[in-house]
Amino acid sequence: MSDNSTFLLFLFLGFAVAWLGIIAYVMYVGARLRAVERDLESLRTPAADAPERSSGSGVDQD
Amino acid sequence: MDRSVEAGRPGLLRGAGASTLVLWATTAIAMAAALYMMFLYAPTEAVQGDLQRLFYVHMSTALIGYVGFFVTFLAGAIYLARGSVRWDRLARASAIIGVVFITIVLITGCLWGTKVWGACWTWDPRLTTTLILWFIYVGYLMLRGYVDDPQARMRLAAIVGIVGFVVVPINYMSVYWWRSLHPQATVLRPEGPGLSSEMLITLLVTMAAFLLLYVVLLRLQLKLESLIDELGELRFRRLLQESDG
Repeated sequence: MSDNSTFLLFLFLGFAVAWLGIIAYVMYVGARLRAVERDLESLRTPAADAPERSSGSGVDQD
Repeated sequence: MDRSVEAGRPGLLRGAGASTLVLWATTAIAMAAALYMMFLYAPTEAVQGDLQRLFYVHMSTALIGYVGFFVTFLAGAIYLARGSVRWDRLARASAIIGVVFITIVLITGCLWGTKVWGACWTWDPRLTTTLILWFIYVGYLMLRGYVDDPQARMRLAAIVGIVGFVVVPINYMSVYWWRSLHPQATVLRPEGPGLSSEMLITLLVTMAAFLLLYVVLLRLQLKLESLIDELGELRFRRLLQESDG
């Protein structure tokens, strides 16, 4: 492999690491945000949520 | 805001205000400009060829690491002075981003070193102090999981964040203080920048784009940290109610 093509390979790897790292971090924060928002929502509306849950569960429908 | 427009947005932008949208758009444009300049505007370096283009990302991510830890240091000091939780939250959020970017610096440095020095890692002063810096702030984040009392946790974390920042100037000066394989500064030198004007402009545009990205990520991480705190508080109140009832 010529020097310039290995230079290009390492350049590609470097950029891939940097961008994939940033994208993975943003996706992780996004997933955590959604999960925390869901948990907050379920904690904020416990009374309205409880009857819905029991009527919507598979056990009750049976 | 129109609900159909709101629903069509990606998850991270849902519920975002106009200022957030402008910030995201500006960052995307700046990043596109930086990429264009890195690959098409900046000249190819004579010795390292195209591999030298990694320099723009490597330097910019290192800058964000430094900025991230500086904000942690500053917010930690303000937390110790004022005792407000939001400063602790800012310190924590910025440390996370600093660790992410210093990780990228270490990996891109390893790739660059593999080709140019023939080794991914050497116990060079710059590399070693960067690794120490990384360990300090990973430790800073881990420490938060080990202390139960919130006040003690925030105080201890602020102290570690402040003391840990001492390594940043040591890391920067390491190439001058000790014999090092790592090149010395190419921009901030008494005799002026050692780069062609095209390379210098490309570097400055890339750094500006990464600084904007830092602000975007910091706002996102702060939102997450504040929701986590709110969730913890709600759970605590729920537990209290249950134990009372």
